Amino acid sequence: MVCRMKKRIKSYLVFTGLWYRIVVYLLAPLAMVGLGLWMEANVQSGTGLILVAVLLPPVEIISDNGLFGGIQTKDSLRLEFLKTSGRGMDVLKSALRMDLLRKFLSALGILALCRLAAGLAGRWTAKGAGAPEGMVSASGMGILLYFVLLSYFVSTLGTFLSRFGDMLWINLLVGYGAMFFTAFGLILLNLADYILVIDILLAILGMGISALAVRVAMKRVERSYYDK
Amino acid sequence: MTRIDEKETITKQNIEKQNNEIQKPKIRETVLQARNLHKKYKGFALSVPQLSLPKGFATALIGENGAGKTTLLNILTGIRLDYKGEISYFDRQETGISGEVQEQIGYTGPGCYFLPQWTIRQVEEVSGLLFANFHQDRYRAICEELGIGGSGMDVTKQVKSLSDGNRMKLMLAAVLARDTRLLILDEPASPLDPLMRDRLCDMIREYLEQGDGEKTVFFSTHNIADMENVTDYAIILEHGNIVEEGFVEDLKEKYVLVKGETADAEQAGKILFTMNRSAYGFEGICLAQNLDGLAGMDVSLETPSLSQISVAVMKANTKLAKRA
Amino acid sequence: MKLLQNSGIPIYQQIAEQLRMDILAGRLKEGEYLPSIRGLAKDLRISVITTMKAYEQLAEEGLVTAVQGKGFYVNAQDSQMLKEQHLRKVEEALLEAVSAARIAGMTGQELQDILCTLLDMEEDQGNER
Repeated sequence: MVCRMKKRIKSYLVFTGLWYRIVVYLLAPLAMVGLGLWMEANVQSGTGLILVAVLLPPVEIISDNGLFGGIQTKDSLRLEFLKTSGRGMDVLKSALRMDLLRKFLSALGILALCRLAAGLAGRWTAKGAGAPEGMVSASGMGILLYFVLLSYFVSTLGTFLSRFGDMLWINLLVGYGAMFFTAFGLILLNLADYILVIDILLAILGMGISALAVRVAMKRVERSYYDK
Repeated sequence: MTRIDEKETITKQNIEKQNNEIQKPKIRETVLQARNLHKKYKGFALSVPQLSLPKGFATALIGENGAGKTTLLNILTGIRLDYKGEISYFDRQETGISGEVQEQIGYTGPGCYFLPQWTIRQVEEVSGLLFANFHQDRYRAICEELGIGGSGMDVTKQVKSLSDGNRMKLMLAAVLARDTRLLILDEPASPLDPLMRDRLCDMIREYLEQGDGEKTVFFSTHNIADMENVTDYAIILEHGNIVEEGFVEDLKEKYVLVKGETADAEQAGKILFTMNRSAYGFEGICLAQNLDGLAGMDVSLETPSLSQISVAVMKANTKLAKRA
Repeated sequence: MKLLQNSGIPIYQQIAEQLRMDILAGRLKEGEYLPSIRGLAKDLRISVITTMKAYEQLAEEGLVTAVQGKGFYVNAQDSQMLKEQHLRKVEEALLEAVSAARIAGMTGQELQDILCTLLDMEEDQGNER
């Protein structure tokens, strides 16, 4: 089990270049967490969380150009070396899946940090008011999950769409659109009473789009065996 | 329209007739056999009724650009599956490519082989993931020996920043670091400099020696001269058809290089397989069985090189196609 | 082993000739295996089929025998045949000398004298050693 997971992670890492790792694992999270914290402390509680949730998808979508950009295009990444091995397609599938898992974990980690900051900021502004509002309550967790699931869904949808092309401007355009889409999705916050229902819906959508993204990419690459 | 079609059939018949004249050489042990391979493109068709690779030897696939060499090799390697026909590998009962078979085959190709952003170290990692029989230490030793990462052996160098020659070397390193029984190399010599081509020939011979008759190499080339001293068996492909094949030593007995005086050129032209005329005389390739026809002429006979034979065969077939 | 690429003599014949000499001169002994086909091809930097053809020629001549999967070993050489082979070589060389002498306009006596002198010289050299 551990061994298989290790292999999957290795399969995924093999597709990531050095600059991709630096940007996606280091610079982008640091910048976003930093921005979130600053907003929470200096502007208003909650703003950091919202801003980061909106910024996450475009970062994921644009950076994906350096990972699986163009994998769903007609002449795909030919990946001949992978095809010379019977395990090639498994390696690619693992990589595509692990990339999605990583996207989810990134969103969860970054937004959780911001949420924590929002809670702390709440305490700072309302000194002595006891536990910050919503910090540990069920609805508080529901709201954090809502941010995570929304930004994951939009990220995955955006990367899926942008992989039909291999040009960076497509990713930029889709990323830009994703920002508005996420912002629009945040309107649902008004329905906070039903947050659990919304979370479940978003989770289903997220899983659906993930499955679709892996499927379509694999289909496209497998079709390159047949010159269609 | 109909007329053109007719013409085309005539061409095909002629070529087929020519094909039938080739006696399929007897190969004692094969490593790979293909039957009725067909693959159609727009305006091009690969059609190989029968293909056998002799086990334990180096076979060259010779042909002009666009003759269908890459298509054929891609089919044999299993990176192209849209073809009709049957292929059996090694001594296996079931036909067709499989993971098990691929484990035994090392392939290098001119296309999008490695991802451009992969580093030399990452190629090692991918190879380890893809193949059970990949030896990391051997890979590193070959990379070092061939000087792929430069003098400092910079393993963080990316594939896209390597020269064509170094990219070829990297493919060879990845393939030779595995335990395989068959190497399929698509145009391995073209991106290499003369010194490295020489080294490539040595590497092929070393591979064959290691196998002691069990390991086989199949490579394509459009410039046979560089690879002549490492070619045991030759298959000449023209317009998607095999137009000649055989063990090189046999081909060298089948064809004779003839040189003679201008005065005899006219007469000799009727007998020779192909001929070049100049102001000073003629030179051409003659089928050994037709040598009698040159009796009485002042000609000198020599053993042709494989590249001379290949050029003659290709020329003759192109002429045939044009004439019809 | 020395191979000439442009001598007009096929490479396989050159290999066969040199191995034949080694066998007839006893440098390769009865029962001894010739180098492996692919090993020799690697060392001589020529194709496998060329060495193979050379070996097959020697096998045809009865100088060596092929063993499936093991290679080629040197046969027992008939001493009478050996002698004849050598004799033929001597005759060939002498014939060449005779024809050269004819061209140079030398008499038979002069040719014999040269041969005697050469033999003497060789003997002296042998003694010095």
